[in-house]
Amino acid sequence: MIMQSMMTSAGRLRGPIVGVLTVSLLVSCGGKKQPGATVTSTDKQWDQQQAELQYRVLQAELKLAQANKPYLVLDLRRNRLEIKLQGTTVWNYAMTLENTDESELKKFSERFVGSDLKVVRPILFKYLFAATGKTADSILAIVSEATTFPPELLQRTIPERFQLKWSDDIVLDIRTDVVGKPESKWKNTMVDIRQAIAGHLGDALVSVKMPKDNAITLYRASVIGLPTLIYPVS
Amino acid sequence: MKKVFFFVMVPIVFLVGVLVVFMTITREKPPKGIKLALIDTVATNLPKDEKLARKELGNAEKSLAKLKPIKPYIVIDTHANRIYYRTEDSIFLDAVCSTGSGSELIDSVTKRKWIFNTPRGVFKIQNKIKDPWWRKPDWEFIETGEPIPKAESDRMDGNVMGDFAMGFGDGFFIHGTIYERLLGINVTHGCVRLGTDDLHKLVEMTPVGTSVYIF
Repeated sequence: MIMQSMMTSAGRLRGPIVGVLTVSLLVSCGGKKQPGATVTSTDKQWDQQQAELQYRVLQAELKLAQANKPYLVLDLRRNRLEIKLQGTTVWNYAMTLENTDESELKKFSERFVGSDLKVVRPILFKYLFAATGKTADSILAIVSEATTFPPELLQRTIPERFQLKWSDDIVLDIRTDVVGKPESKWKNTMVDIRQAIAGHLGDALVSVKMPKDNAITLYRASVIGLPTLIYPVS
Repeated sequence: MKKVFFFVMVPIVFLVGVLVVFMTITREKPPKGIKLALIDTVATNLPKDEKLARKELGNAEKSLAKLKPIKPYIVIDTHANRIYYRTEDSIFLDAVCSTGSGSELIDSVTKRKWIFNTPRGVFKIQNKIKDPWWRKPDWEFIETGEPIPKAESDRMDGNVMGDFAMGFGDGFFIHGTIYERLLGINVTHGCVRLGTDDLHKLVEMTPVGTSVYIF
């Protein structure tokens, strides 16, 4: 019975799970409230705590910019995702949040920064739920022959849905309009169920809708270990 | 009382147990060896004195602002095979291109090896050439199974690079192509190919010295 209900959509589980967890007093939601980070050197009102966080963000970005490698920026002040190289924006996307409200965005921001004011985390996991299948069409077959490269390798995976995950179960869920083929229905269900449960235990998940062209870049550029800098929510 | 306790607590304990087991077995193990040593060494202590702190914050803001190009720059997105002429917030040109295939070629005789990647990093447009000729490198002959010519003139081809080429260093160019149907696919030997119309627009917009960001 329990397993049957687990196999249904994750959303249905939310009610009972909350109940059980509340009764059993095992829930420890939320984290310590973090200060915002919009203080600048010219602001009239001075907030030392906010200034320290802002200083950390700036110092971290300066360090990241010195390396000749791209890094991801989660700009939660402007709801923007960016890929930067040497401090310059090379890709950006104005986030269209899906099933995510401001409080969840704030929770995501607070959890990312944590009590030790961590503003950079590497991507630890990238999970592809579904993507378009690769087909060897006639042009690619010709190119493949000339380049001695399998036609499938000449094509890009166009993701329907994927997730980027950082330590402490911080998840960015990206969905596109593409209708793809699931990588593994069973694993996808397990991941969804786990995250539905984890969401009630304080884990942070932000869901973003994205056009496929943007998603291709983000999916391919987000390699495991890619440093991710956050501009926390004010 | 005992019955109530039994019928309430046992299912709760059972459910919690199932949850704990489920969450444990579905937990992913983080990959090993990922560190952010760079960031760990960042000095992040802001002076407690407001005046000094403002100054320090201001210096950091200025240092970061200095990194951003004042003029528009070119971005080549090798992941999506797109090229942009843009500033931080505006895009003036967004076009499909072709970048390096990433394939490998080994000369069976000399064992020389080539990997056909478009280089990543930050470069500058060094020159603009009208009606460019391609000087075929050795790998072109090895790839096609032809003998490497001794005469320099046998290497020259004036029909494949389109109307313009813009060099960005180490023999890499942004240039045109006669294979426009292949735009959007990673098929080049490292150069960046553009369609004729987009190439004309880009060449017109781009002065020598423009920064080129490739990722």
